[in-house]
Amino acid sequence: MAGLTLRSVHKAYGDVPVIKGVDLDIEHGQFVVFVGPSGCGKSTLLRMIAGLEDITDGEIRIGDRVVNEVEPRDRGVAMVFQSYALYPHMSVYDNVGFGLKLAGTRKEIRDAKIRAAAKVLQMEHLLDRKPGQLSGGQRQRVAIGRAIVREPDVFLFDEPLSNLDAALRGDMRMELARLHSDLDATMIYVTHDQVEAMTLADKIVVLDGGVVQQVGSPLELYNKPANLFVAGFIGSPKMNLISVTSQAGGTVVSPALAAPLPLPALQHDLSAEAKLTLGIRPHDLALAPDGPLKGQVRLIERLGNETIVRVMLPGNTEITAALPGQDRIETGETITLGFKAESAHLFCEDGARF
Amino acid sequence: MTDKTTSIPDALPTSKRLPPSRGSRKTRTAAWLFVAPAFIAYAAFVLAPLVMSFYYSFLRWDGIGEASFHGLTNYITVLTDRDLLQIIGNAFQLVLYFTLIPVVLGLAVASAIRSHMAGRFGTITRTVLFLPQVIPLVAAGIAWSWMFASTGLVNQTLKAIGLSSWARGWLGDFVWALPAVGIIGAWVLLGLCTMLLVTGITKIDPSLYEAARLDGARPWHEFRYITLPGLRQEIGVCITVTVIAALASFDIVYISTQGGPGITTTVPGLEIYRLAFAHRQVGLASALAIVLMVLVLISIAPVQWFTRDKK
Amino acid sequence: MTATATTTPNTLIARSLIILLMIVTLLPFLSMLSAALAPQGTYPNGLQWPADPQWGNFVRAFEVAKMDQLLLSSTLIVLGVVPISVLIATMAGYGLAKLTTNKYKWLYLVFVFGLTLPFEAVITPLYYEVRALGLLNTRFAIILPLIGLYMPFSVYWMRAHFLNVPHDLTEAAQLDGATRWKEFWLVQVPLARPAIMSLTILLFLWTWNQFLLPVVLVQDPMQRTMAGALGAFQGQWGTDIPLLCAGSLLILAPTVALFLLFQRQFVAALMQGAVKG
Ligand SMILES: Nc1ncnc2c1ncn2[C@@H]1O[C@H](COP(=O)(O)OP(=O)(O)OP(=O)(O)O)[C@@H](O)[C@H]1O
Ligand SMILES: [Mg+2]
Repeated sequence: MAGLTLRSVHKAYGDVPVIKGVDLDIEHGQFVVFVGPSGCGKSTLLRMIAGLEDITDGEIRIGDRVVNEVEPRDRGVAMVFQSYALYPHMSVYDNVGFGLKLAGTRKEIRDAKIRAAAKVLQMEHLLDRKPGQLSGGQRQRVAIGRAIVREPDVFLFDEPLSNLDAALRGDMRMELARLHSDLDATMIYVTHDQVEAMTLADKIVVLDGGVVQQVGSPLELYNKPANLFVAGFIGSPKMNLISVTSQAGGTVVSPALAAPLPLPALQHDLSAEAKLTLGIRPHDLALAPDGPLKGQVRLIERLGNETIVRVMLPGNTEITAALPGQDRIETGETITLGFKAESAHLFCEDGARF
Repeated sequence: MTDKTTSIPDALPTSKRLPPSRGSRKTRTAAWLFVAPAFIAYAAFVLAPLVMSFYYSFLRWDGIGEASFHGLTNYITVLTDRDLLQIIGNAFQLVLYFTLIPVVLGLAVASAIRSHMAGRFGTITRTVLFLPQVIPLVAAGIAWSWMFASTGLVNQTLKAIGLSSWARGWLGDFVWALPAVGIIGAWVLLGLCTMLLVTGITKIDPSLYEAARLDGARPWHEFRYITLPGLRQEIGVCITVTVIAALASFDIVYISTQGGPGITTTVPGLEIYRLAFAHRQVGLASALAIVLMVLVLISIAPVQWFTRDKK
Repeated sequence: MTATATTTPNTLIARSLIILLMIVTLLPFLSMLSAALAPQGTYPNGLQWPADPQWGNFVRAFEVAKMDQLLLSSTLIVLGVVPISVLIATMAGYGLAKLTTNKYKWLYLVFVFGLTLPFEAVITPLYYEVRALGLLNTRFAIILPLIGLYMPFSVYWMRAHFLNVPHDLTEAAQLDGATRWKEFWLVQVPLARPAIMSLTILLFLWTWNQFLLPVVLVQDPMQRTMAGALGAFQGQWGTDIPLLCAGSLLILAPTVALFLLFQRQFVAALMQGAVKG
């Protein structure tokens, strides 16, 4: 059983801090996804776990073992790279078996393991080829196969699907999910694609600027984003954010709102006149003749199953709404939108959830 | 020594984002272990002799007996002695032949052909033009000594076209020996430069020429404004290679003229050899060696600088 | 022949120019050949097919020059220099490209500094160094210094290659459990084969054709390289033109033969070698 523990992990390149104190507990068998915008330190964190990057400060434990000073090869981890990193001069068979060979595994055992992995990944017919003769998806399979045969405690993936086209990415995503349930191993997966994150993860870690913003299951993150960053990052289309001011009596006002809006969440709060941000997901909006949001339709994207409209509210605030696919709305029309009070999110001035 | 003077182009833009996982102590130890053998060989047979050369250059020493400190006298001699100055001048005169002829002819061929030399003709051309690069320079020297001999092919040709009065023993002639040596070097380097330039020109986008023609460019303009700038790097390479070959042209001179007649074809490399091993003036030879090294560096630096700033 | 290269007047000019260049390149060889076939002791003309070609001159030159011994000597020197140089330069190139940070750029610059160094600049102290080592007049007097003298170019060359190898491969190998040494042999060296091949060709040529070091450091022509021996041969038989020309042709024959066999590889190596050196 190998879980993974990070305690106040720091990383700096020279004087530039990149990871600024990450604490994380990952249990054995979990599928954990790191998401965040480009440059936020996802890869760096993953590579620190792999041992490819020194740890400036803090502690990483795999199982009960502190691995800060342990060589990558001795950590019991396997990694799948974005570029696949297959050895171009070796056949698929040798690529997959390279780690076993280095470990001095007997030939018959090695052969059995390679063939088993190939079977799992449905690439038995590719074993004699060189990586140069494979398609992107096939290379990806080989890279995963190479990780599987080593039977690691922890699998690490750094944006493994980002070089594939959309359809293939969907297939591979399902395959990875299947693999995870088959292998019963801990997997850590880096992506900046939130669909991948939402569909694959048991637990999502949202990173920004080298700091963990929130850790939770996909639905927790969607339903209760801990701060504005997570709110804006998770969910597509993005959550609408409207600046509002609270008033005594549990209502908020804003130029964008037709009338003061009562919010149950505010009932307990006594201080008046706080600057807040109101967040509403596009999918929580619906046409409502007496709703609080009234504005002119600027742009319509008809996707069939739903229609995305962009609406300009007074006070120069633009919001997005996802409406049923068959709604007859025209550009330039004025519409009124409403939402359930409990689906509204409120954030304080510092960005934290209210 | 600055970056500019020493480095021949870095070929590849070193990635901005350095490969990570390099800081650790273990990696550092491994790095040293991998580099050590090469470095030891380099230090033992290049750096150490270089330091010794520098040290000797301040001595008066016959290589056998006692050495005495001689201050800067050797350097002053190198830079003032008329013979030594002429010898250094010879080297630079050779640069004219070694560099100019191959580069000009190579450019002419390249801009006339301006396409890849494919097929049989290309293969044969490449094979033939590279022959002089494959044989020892000494062999080139012997071959051309024979060409320039009094009954050699050069004189034979001159007589055949009615210029008998021009015929002479070229390598023994006070005026013509140095140009003749220059021709040998040009012959050796011609093929290499031509092929480099021809290859370089195929990398220029042909649509540039079409666009220029639409703009009303004459052939000269095309050459001046497209070919020449496009070949800047290749020209830089040719000049670098040929200048070094000219300044360090020991083999050819040793075989074809032994530096004569008089010292009209003596070059620094040959003079170092003579001073050190025939005249037993090790200090002076070393000073000349250091001067030669510096001369090569300062001749190459501007070329490198000129062809580099492209990025 | 490409479609564009057939008709235009420009191409014709270029063709003629190239053919002229080829003739100029070949003439010295032909002239030597014609002289080599002239009767012994005569003073032949520049380019004139002898009435009675004396092919026997080559046999005589072979015996006089002791070509068999020379071939052996050159081969021994090449075998002493090239494999070791290629090996340690490949190691150093890998070390410099993959294992060091920017902080150690100076180390690379120290190597690069030697790139433009003429051998003549260090030949005097080399003589005394080799003498102190007691190696004067042995093949090691040529072998050891050459290894050192080749390092700037070789290290520069291999480092440039290794910089181009994706770093992911190194990391993948590390995760697969390879030590640096194993990674080097099992991953990097097989991938570096083309670069190693070119370097081997270049070092072979430069060693085989090396002249200065043998002349200064080795008295006995039989311990020298082919090129070095040619110097001695000329000194001894310089007045016997047919014999000299026959000997020279024999001495340059091995490299030319290899060149014709591996024409493509040689040309590629020489071109890249020039560009990078
Ligand atoms: N070797 C390095 N030297 C200096 N800075 C680095 C180095 N590697 C990464 N960084 C910096 O560290 C930060 C985090 O990089 P990292 O690769 O972890 O981002 P990421 O979240 O994986 O981004 P992406 O989604 O684009 O892959 C970036 O700002 C990057 O510029
Ligand atoms: Mg990344």
